[in-house]
Amino acid sequence: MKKALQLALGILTAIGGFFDVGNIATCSQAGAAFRFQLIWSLLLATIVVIFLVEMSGRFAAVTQKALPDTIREHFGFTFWLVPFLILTVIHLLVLGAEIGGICFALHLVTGLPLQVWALPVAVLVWLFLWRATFKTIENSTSLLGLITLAFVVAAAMHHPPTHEVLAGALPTMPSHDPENYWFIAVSIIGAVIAPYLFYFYSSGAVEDQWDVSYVPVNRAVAVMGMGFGSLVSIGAIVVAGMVLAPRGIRVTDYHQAALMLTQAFPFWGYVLFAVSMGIACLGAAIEVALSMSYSFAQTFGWNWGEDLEPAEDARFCLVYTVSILLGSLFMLFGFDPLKLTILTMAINAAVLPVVAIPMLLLMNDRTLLREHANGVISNVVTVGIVLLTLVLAVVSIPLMIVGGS
Amino acid sequence: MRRHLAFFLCAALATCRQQSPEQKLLKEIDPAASWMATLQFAGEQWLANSVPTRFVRATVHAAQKDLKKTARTVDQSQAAQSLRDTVRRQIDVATAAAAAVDRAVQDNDRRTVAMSVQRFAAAHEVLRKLEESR
Amino acid sequence: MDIVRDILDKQLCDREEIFMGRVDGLVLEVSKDGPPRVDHFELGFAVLARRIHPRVERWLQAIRKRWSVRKNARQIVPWSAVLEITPQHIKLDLAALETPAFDWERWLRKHVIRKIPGSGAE
Repeated sequence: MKKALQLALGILTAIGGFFDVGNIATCSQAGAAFRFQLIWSLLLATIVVIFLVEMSGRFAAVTQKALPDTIREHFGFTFWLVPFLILTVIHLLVLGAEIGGICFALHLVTGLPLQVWALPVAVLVWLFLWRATFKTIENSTSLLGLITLAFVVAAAMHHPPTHEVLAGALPTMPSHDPENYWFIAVSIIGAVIAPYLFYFYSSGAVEDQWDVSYVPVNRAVAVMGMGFGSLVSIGAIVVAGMVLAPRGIRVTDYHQAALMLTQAFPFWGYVLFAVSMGIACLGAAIEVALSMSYSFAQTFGWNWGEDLEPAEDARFCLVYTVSILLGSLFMLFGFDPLKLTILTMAINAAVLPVVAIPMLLLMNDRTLLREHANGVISNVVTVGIVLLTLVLAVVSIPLMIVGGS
Repeated sequence: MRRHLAFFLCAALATCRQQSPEQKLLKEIDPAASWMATLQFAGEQWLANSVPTRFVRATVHAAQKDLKKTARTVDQSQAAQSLRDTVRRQIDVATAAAAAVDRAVQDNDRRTVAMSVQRFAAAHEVLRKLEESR
Repeated sequence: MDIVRDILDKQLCDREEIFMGRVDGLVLEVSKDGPPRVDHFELGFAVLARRIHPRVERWLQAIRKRWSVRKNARQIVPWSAVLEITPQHIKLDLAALETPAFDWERWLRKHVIRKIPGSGAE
């Protein structure tokens, strides 16, 4: 019974965790510019993220250890240092983008400029982490995150041509702007396979005290949670494809994306978009800030846990506090939130091998995982994933230069 | 996959170099055309009471910034004079209509907003036709 | 046991299983008679900095002289303090809060965290 509840909760959390500022930006751009033609890249990224999340959860359940912890222990400090520093910088960028998303949502509701909201939003994110336990964060963001299903409902209400949507599931050559097409494809993958997800998920499994008996639960959570999560993103692509594309609206600014739901839900669509964006980004900002703390605490062996009082893990709290402060600077200094998001997603895609390769090696270590190590199928898939991430690492930055809008 | 991407990368770089000034200009006005469509849609939704006045104003301000930038690009372009004039005229129409909308939504002047929506639609249509013919 | 694979970089905890850093360095004692044996662990940023490059350690020590709240950049834990070694951690016969590993933690708690409402400190 307890496991069934855990399963339901885990799936909800995964749905909530899947959809964030990166998905809103890249999916609305994809739909507006290429209608349903880029659904394949979202599906590809979903399959990859299901495998990687399943692995990081299985790893935590079997060894009771999170990923940053084990990577340092296993490969040594000097190996871990470079990925650790790279991911720290990226997490700050992601945090900046998520805070930008919350600021924009508040801007939609209040009309006040984004700069005004930067610090209040930072305080809000920080207060959650300062006072809430891991369970509260998990439960509240997951339940509130269900509001993003508005995108799926809106997609259905527009009655999209089924055969065209299905045709988008297979990669095809673009009829126009090939550079932009491939760039959006890459940034969708970067948005879905965010590196923080694996640190957050495996550290969360340790916080929830998973053991070997959770291996099946973990598998179901990964498949269903990420599967449903990608449904919301597909909904966003379809809505943008039905509403923005026929009018010739491209998304070069979040104001353009904000109009997406107004046709399906007169009046409420505007509010729903703002609330969905605000909540999705708030949940993600909390998760990214926590991931920062997890990776620092585990790298240096500090006491860690979101369930401890701040006075029991001062350094853990210091890391998220400083991260949130730094993350809010982007909006405070007037960066364009959409440009920041797109830049971050391209960099996300570029650094994926840093996450995927150590994971592949660890998942095959039978001294750690015993009979739960990767089987043949998982390994074939992971090798495929590593190859894909290597390709992304090579092409994403050049594509951003030629194809980024 | 990798080969395709590498190919596209080279192709993209190659097309960048071979573009005529006319093609280049038509590509550069893409965002401005998209903003005209956005203003048209935002105006329609305001008339339908689906978006608040502050949203329309914020969108207008974001659009004005881009239209201004594009106007400068058009002036500096090496493209044929007739094309530049056509494009520039649409941008001027949209810029004027944007300013009108900014005032009209504050005064709850629905007639002016409705008229401006028509002007955005017309300007966008001209640019869209130009792009189709390239 | 393989000292680099199984000991170096491993999580350390005290009697109460409070995490207190990782095995940042290992020091062996080489005697004339008998094989070399592990004498003590080293903990601290200075140890990590030296693993990157001796110059990084020099920079760190220079910064530390001005800013650090720690008396010594390098904490030494004798092998004799080891209680047990599990796959998860190495348990030490120490109280984390009283060791130099918690210098920063104590300083932060006292000067920063306790001053913010809701920190859970009495």
